[in-house]
Amino acid sequence: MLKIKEFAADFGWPRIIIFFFLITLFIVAPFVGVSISMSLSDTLNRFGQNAILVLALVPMVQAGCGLNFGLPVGIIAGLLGATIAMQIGLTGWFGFFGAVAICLPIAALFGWLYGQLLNKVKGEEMTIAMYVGFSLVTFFSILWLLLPYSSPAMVWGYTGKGLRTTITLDNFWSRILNDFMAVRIGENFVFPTGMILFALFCAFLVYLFFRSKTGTAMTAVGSNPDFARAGGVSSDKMRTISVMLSTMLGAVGILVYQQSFGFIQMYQAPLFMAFPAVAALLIGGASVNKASMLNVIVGTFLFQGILTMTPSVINSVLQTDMSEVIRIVLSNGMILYALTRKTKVTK
Amino acid sequence: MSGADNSEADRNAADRNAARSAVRTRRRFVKAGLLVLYVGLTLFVFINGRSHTFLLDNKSLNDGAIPALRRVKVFIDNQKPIELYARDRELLMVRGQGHRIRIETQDPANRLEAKFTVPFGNDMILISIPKMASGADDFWEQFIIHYERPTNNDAPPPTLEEPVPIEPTL
Amino acid sequence: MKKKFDFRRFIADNVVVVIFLILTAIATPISGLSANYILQDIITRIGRNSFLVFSLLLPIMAGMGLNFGMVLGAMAGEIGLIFAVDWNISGVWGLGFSVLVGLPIAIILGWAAGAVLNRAKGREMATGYILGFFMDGVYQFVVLYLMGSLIPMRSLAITLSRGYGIRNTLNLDSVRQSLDNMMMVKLFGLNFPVGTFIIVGLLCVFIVWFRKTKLGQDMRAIGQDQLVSNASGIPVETTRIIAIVMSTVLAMIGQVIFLQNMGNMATYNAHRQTGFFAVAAILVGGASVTKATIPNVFVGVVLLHLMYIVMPRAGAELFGSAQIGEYFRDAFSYGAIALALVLHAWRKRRGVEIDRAGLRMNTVDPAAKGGAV
Repeated sequence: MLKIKEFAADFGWPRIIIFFFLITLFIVAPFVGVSISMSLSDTLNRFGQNAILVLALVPMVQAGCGLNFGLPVGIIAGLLGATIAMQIGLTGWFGFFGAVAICLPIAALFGWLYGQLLNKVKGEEMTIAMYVGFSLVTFFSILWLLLPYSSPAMVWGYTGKGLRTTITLDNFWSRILNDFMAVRIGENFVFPTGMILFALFCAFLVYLFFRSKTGTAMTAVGSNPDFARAGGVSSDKMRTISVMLSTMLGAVGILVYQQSFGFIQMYQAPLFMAFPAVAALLIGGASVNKASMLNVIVGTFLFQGILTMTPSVINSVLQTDMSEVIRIVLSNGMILYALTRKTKVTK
Repeated sequence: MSGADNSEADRNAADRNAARSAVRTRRRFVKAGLLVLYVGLTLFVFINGRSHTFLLDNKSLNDGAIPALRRVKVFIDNQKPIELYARDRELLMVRGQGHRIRIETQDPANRLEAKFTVPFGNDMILISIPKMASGADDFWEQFIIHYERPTNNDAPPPTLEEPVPIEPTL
Repeated sequence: MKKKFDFRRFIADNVVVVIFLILTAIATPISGLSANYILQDIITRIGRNSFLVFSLLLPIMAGMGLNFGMVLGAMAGEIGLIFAVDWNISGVWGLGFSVLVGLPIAIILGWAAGAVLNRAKGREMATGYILGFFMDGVYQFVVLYLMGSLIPMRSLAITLSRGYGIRNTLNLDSVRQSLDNMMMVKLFGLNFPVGTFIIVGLLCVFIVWFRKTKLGQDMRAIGQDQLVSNASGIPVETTRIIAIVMSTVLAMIGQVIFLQNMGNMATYNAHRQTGFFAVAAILVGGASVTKATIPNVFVGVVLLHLMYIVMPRAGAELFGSAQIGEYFRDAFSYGAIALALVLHAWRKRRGVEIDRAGLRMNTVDPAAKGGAV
């Protein structure tokens, strides 16, 4: 009994409530005429879509840089990769992996610069990251208008220049991972094998990384900087690597997201993309300075599950669309909870 | 010796306690006073700030028993005068519950000035100028509009699924 | 000891202001707008925005950084306005009523926000920011679902046709610019909303006075050093909460003033950008996370809004697209916030390092203290 209590206190009541809330939703669903198989399929789809974006937060949390509200930096790199790949006319698998290949060096460069900046502002990373992300997104909004893109699939039809606000991936690599080895069970249930495998593969790579020497050193820097310094680990270097890794994962994450969504959202769309990812990670049990692969997977599943289930179930029960309010209160409440929690590992 | 000390300390503590409780009582009074002041002020603003629509009517009533005035200037409170010809109807907004109405006309009139208080919670008052001029006291009545709910479907509330655009609203 | 005016130091301390000065100095002639138009707009915007920006001063003084949680106050003001419109309370009376209704809400929200921020010492800003998002959800719940169902609403004109919830845009005709027009003075062909200016002036006087009170002194002491303040018997937690409560209340009044000038209210969006504009303004005005003065507010409002006025036109003239100008000014406003935060964090670190070096070598050049403002 005591053990359960301890576990609950450690895991955090909000997470337990959210967990049971989701279970309740799944139990109630059939009684209000919501198809479970379809909901489950949607949840899995959204899980694969968002998992890598959530995963992208882990390295920085582990290295003690806090929650990466500057995820849009990586997203911008991903957008650059996708648009350049489209511009040079890559389609299908070439298109997707071409975009990945193009965005990775860009993300690495962005991440390096961003990491240098964050190293100068230790202790204030989160707010600054937020605003660095915001200013980069708005700055790139100008570039999307000015850069010499010319592919008719991407630019505005009537002026012939400037990227559209949403670009369809239909003839490029729309749902290419989703449909890879997708398994259809019954009428409504599709298991997006390719995407889930890709997400798990990325998670596995990150897991391996944290087993490596560099990864262990990074965790050491995050959990105990003084100890790490005594051990001869350069904290600045580790932090920079973590930021680069986070940015690169963010870039890949947005590409996976887009191929599943079928569209590239440009301009202001990436502004607030970091927040749902952060909420998902925290719901999974991570804290401001500790996160694991399990947190990512559990958190993404729980969060996306609730996002999928609340609109359909709550709407059928209450006859109104309360899902928006629930989503806002839930995700931000979770972030708030994590930020105000007295953590055992002090910064 | 020590007993004296103790009693001294006791007395000090008692004094301090008394002082503290006095402070506490005073604080409580101040707080209650502030609360009363706040409620009073809110009620005052609420009652005096309500605005109403006056419909000024210059029409013959009771089959011509009370004829419309050919031309009349109406002064309400300190607002700009309104000129009405026969069969005119005018609309104006006023604030507060008590109102003064005064008319100037060449036509025969029994009464040129009146005061009245709008019943609380009312939005629209219909004032018949001929009736007032004739001297009747029931020259005003509540005018209640039976609203039909607008049938056009309102745009759905903004969703946050889409990121909030940075609107240059300032 | 006479202090020599160090030009480079001055630039370094005010780099955000300098950047904005240069930007607007370039963009203003390009925009081709008339001086009269720009001046009139600036005057209007000073009246409209400065009260909101002032609400950030006290938490900065108390060492809590930029109070992104001020949007809570803005929401309280909006709820007040909804009731004023619903009950058809017009003119300045309506504004007064909004403030009176908003007051208890702002106090309660401010108290809650202060308590939350006390649990998140060291990351008040990020927490305040998320708190704003969180309360936005609660606000939406109250206004979209409770108003008209649980909270009685009498005006059908402001409720949604389904019977509950407030419409997306609220027409503030009954209170529109009532404060501005109360004492509108025409001078040199420009309209000065003297009524609004007097209110802002009174607030300035209040802040100057408040700094000298016991509570104000306590706040400044806490802003300097929490541990020392605690040791000297200042109730740190409570004082911090009071700073946030006052900030929230001021933001509530500020939002009412802001919206009466705008004349209508986007019920679910009006407060979303409030924090951003206020924070950008005070930082552009040369304030830092730890120090802000009354001139910072005015300089910031003028500079930021000058840029907001001229940039779209300048963008249209230069690139043939007003959109670019708009993105440009947004990028620079966000950039200004980021830069100011970075500079602050950087100076603080440099200060700490120099202190540390000083401890080691026992020789500290006081002038070298990292320009910590």
